[in-house]
Amino acid sequence: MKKILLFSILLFLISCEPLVNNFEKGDNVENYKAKEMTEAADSVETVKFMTWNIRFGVGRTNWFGDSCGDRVIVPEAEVKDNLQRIADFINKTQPDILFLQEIDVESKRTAYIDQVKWLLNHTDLNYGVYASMWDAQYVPSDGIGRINTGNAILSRWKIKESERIQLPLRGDQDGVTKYFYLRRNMLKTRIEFPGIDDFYAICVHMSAFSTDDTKQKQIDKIGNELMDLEDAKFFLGGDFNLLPPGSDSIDFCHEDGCEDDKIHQGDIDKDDYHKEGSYFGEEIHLMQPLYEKYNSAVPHENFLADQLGHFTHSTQWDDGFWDRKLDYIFSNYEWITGSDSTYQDDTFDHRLSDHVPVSIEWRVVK
Amino acid sequence: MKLFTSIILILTPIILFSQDLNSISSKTAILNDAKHLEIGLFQPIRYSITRNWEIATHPIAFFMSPNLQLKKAYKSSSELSFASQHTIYYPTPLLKMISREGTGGIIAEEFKDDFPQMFSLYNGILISKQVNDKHLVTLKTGVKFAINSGDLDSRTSIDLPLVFQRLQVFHEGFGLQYGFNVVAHIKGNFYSDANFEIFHFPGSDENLAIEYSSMYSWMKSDKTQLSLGFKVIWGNYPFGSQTHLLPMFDIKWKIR
Repeated sequence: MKKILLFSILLFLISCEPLVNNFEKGDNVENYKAKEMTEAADSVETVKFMTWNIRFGVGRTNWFGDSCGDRVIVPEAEVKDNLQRIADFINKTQPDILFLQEIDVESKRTAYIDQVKWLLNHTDLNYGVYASMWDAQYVPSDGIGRINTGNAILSRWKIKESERIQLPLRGDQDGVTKYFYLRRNMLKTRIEFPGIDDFYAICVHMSAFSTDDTKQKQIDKIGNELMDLEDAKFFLGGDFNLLPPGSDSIDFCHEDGCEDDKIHQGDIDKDDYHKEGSYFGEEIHLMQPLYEKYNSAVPHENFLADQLGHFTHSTQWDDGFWDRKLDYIFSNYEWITGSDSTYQDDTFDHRLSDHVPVSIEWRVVK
Repeated sequence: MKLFTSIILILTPIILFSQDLNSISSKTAILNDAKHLEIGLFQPIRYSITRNWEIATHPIAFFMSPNLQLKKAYKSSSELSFASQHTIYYPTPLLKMISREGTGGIIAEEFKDDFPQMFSLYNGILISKQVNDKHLVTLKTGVKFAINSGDLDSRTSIDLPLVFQRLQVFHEGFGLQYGFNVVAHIKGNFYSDANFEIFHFPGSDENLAIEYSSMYSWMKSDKTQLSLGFKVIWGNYPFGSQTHLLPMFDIKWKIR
């Protein structure tokens, strides 16, 4: 009886399951395979990469968290309809390797649809890997409830290895908010590419709303990880939440502001003078090292020559257009000149997300 | 302090929704003596009107989600005791209260004005048998119905253990609840209580949940009982199946 009692006390003590996954245990990546495989050629001359923040498949709906809206839980039919249109676009543009950000796999807000699985089963891509940036059994705020969202890489070719690399957490939040908040990551994969052993595809999604030096720390971390791959071939795509150096507009407080927000009031040196995440003045130089060291899908000079034509994001659409560039693809190898696309034209339905996909082609060098 | 507030905000609805108005004594067909009055930290206030009638309600929850249970004991043989349980529960005000923006928003505010008036009615029977001088075994079964004044949006479900299973009747219309309970006298003032319960919602995608709890109680005095234990919950949720292991703790006071 004593043993049973002791065992019960032990169970009592260990029975508090954490509400939030802090990714300190396990390998923290999930591998996927399409239900029906599409044959991938053994020998290819070019590879098309695309990066896209798909806004968890809810299109441009007025979600409460990022567009002054009041919607939180989107009906299943609406999510599936959006996913179908996202899949249609992917099938039309035919990327070989796709970097996806803000993709849900088990979230109440998107009817618990595993969007990685769904997209694999509705496109010609065969393999996928997912790394969560926000995995909580319950977020007791705004009715969010259960959430699991993050980064994914979908590929025609098998993904041999994958690793979730934790990026530094925001330093400007209190303990409770930090506990329940996002844990940004960099998803590094090694692809079984025909004839190339050291082919790495990396997806990243950096912090959006930090007001301290979090982004500096995150970009430093990314830079350090890339240095380890300099002898390999790497292709990095993602939503960096940073503007290119030299951007004409750096303050988007009015574009992003909601009706009740107090913007540009009080002391200019205080943190709340600007809307959280909408002022890029102090971060404008952060992308410079990546531009200098690696090859950007949209070369810096091309961006500076036509900024509007390379914008990839906007928070409001009703009376606007894409108004800033946040999405990038880099490599330590040269791209095919002029093969880049920032899909602002009619080929892209702007209702699909608050981000435009960006793609680029690479001529295979063995 | 903020951590404490957040924990309370999560725990409050769990506690309030998970009340089956059950404590060790309430899980058997044997009622307390007439005029017996007791209350627990997480348990309802329970009063025996006569030796055969008992009434119970959760006092804190009552103002946010009015609830009432009646238990009636029937003529028993020397070996078997029989009782029936009847519970009515009105969660609409509490659901509206936790549909809000910001911290503590368990349900999204967009549904706040859409909750219909909802009542659930549970009717069950309990059969207890004293198998020896140390063990009392109870079998129980019952059916739960919900009466809603309108449609309840499926997106308002609270997908947490204990809570989801107890609110599912409002989405499904009816459900079955059955299980068994064993109360054992360990030694001196120590008792144990093992409770196994199945929640079954025929025809639903999330049609099953199984709960097992094991509590150890110390009768500190005639008036105070301390309990410690755990509960294992396996259930179907809208996202799939999951098992949870939760700690349990309670204090019960006999007022008279």
